[in-house]
Amino acid sequence: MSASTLTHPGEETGTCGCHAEPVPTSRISRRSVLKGAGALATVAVAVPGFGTAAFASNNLSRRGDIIVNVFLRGGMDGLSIVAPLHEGAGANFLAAARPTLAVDPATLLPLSADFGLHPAMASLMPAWNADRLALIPAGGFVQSNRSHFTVQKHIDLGVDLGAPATMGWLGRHLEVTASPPPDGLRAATLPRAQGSLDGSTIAVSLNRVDNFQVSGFRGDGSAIQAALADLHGVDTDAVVDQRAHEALVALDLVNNANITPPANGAAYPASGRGRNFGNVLAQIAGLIRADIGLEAVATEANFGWDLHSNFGNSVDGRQASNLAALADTLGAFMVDLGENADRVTVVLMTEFGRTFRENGNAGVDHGRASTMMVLGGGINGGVYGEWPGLAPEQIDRNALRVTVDYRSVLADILQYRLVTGDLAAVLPGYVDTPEKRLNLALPLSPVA
Amino acid sequence: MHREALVSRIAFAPTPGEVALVASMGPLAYLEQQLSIPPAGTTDVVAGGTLAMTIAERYQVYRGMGSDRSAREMRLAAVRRAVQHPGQLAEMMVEFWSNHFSTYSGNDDKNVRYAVATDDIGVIRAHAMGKFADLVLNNARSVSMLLYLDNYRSTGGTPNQNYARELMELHVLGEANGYDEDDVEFVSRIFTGWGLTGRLDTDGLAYQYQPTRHFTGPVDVTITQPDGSTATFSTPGRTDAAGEQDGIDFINWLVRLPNAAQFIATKLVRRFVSDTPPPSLVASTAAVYLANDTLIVPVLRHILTSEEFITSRGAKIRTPFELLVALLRASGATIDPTWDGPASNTITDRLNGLGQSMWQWATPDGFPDSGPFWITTQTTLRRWELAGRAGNANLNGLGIDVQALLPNPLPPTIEEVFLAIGARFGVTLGENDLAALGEFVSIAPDTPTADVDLNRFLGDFVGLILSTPAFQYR
Repeated sequence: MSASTLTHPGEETGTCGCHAEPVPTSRISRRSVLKGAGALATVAVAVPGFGTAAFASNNLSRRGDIIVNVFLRGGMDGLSIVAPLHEGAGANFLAAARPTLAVDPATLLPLSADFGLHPAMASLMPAWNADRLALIPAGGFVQSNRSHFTVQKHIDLGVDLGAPATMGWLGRHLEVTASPPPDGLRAATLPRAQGSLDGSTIAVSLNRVDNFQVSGFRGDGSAIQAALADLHGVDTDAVVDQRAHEALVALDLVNNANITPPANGAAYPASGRGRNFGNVLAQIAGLIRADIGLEAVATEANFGWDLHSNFGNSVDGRQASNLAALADTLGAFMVDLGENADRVTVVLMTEFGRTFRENGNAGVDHGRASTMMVLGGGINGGVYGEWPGLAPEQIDRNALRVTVDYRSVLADILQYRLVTGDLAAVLPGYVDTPEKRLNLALPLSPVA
Repeated sequence: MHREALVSRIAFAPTPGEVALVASMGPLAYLEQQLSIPPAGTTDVVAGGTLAMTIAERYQVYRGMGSDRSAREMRLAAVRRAVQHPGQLAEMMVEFWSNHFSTYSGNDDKNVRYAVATDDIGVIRAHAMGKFADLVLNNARSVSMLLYLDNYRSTGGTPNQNYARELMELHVLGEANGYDEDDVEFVSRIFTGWGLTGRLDTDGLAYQYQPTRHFTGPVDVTITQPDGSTATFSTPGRTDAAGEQDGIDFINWLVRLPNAAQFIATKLVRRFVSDTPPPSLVASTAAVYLANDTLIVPVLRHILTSEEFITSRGAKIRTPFELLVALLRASGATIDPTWDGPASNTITDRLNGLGQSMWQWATPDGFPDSGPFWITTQTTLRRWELAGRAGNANLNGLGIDVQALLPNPLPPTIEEVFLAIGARFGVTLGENDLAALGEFVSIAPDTPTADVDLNRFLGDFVGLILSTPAFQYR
């Protein structure tokens, strides 16, 4: 069987007929400009009207997108998310490898001629149909390792195995990217700290936006706050002192923010796995609407992805209900954001996918590639990356091969949507080449 | 060695009695006493509840209750034991090993919650101050671990890798410390047949070796040791009852490798000395571990009498559990013992808010032992909230007599009152702290005590003292 190639819709070699409606003209012309001018080469190549330097000097008051980084801890299986529709794309191999777990291809929601989406993720179809959802089915960590903790850590830090780092990749992005004044709350983690912002003194760790307060004392609030400030040294490198002052500064920003409930009739799940995550996304949407300077949020959706057993089938099983919860919450988030979705990019990744063949306990063990997802108004929807194939010679030690370095997805987002100050500093060790780039993100429109 | 310093670091907090004890015995004798006291049992720990029950009995109690019921009960028990048990170091080691062999009890926990309390007594507490080899072996056969990492359903035909991987990565060797992916597969074969018998709703679950499920074929596991040489464990894959010996022998071999010594030494030095464990102390500790055939007490003695430990006060941030226990122990607080009473709820609420939902950490790696992990903007606010509530005796189920913290008779100036309260909690307040406390009520620190409305402000004074950076460190 020939390996299907997943490429961006519209490119010459593409096989997909993804879109029911024509791709907007403005986007087509933008891609042509980019291709013609060789702007896809490296960050350093300056294209008139694009590129970091030109943008910054023309747009002092304009920020990039707000990035929402959602890490899915536990090794989320990707083969059940974007799966082959027919034998030519490997559906027979998948069915043989996963006799009890494989999704029936007839139930997949078609994304292209060859691939479809897990039916439990129907809530993502509006974003797909609006050309705002990019799926990368064979994305992941390039170096071979199947330890949750090792790979999670290195992905969050954005470094190769064994390379030292004390700050997450998103934290580094904030460090190297100037924020136009006034400085608000540039970054947050919800409902607790998240690795991609570890080590950052810019990011504030929140549990909920409505309990970020000094409490427990009896006396006057501002006198207590003043005393707490005085008890903690300034200009020290002691984490206790640093966080104390960061908390006190952030308090006012968060508590004075006008955080409104879900908009546009967005309906987050009221129960099940999606309830808590939906609540987090609703708060993030509220923070975005409150316009307090947010540039980056990092969170997690750990629904129990590490399904060594009880994976279930596509109709009723753990994986199916996890995927439904994820899709429903993301779908509601996009509705909640409304027009704000034009300036938000949501990226989802997991440390690795799961084994191609099911084990003897109705589950799957640690694998390699999984499906990455990117959503947002500035995203060129489509299924991206080289499909590694599911024939025996194409499967690597019972796992789907990684053909897309997760960092090349981040590079697109960092360069085109976040206008990062220094891509090489954010992703040290990642060698950026045109061949690696998927170009799934549209460059921000410069203001005239 | 400074008495208060020792007491804050091998005990959870300095009670006046503890400090006097160290003064009279001397620090080394105190240390030896602490090394000799085993962990607390179940007597007088929780009123009602399921700690001393069998798994089957516990199932009958918990079934139909919220899935976090067992974690709540375990937290209450842990706090009461740590606050009250004379064997402070033993309770610290129980907390350390519980986290080292971390399991998750709660929603979709594969029934682990019915077994956790049984294994806390029979595995962790039984061996916390014993031999690491025995700890690993008994943990491998524990119902909670067999359920949590799926090993009970691992068979020779389709071995399940979950436990085998974490045994090496998290329990004994450390990540990527000498083994590779192939070894994970091989080790998973060794532990096939380590299963469970019984039913939760009748006689309960118990470990049972099941020879028919064991992989009977040669297995070789080769570990690369720190010096670059390799060590190989081989078994032909024994049949029948003798097959269990494959796993027993493997554990006994694995825990005696230099890789294991290095890993455990690093974790223990990190626990007691610093987030950046001094390499020389790690190396000497690893040697003691091997020379004593994995006995834990000699290893602790070595660390706790080392120059690095003696000179490293204030390097380790208190975890939420340590913070709460220190606060309660130092203040002589009472803790309602009712298994599902107000103290249980308060303890769970506080620990959750501070980021340490004990027994509900989702992954087998346990909570990281790292100061920055515990101190975020959010948890900083929650620490201050705990402090404020404690000072104002506003923690339901936890009885703190704030007035009893005051020296009797009251000293003449308010700053001496501050200093006395600070000393009670093991905190030496500096000039800046005293000024800040005085500023809170717009007075100078040398103001006469009689001029200050202590009835109104004492609670907040105590809360502010408990919020000082110094109290956040051991």
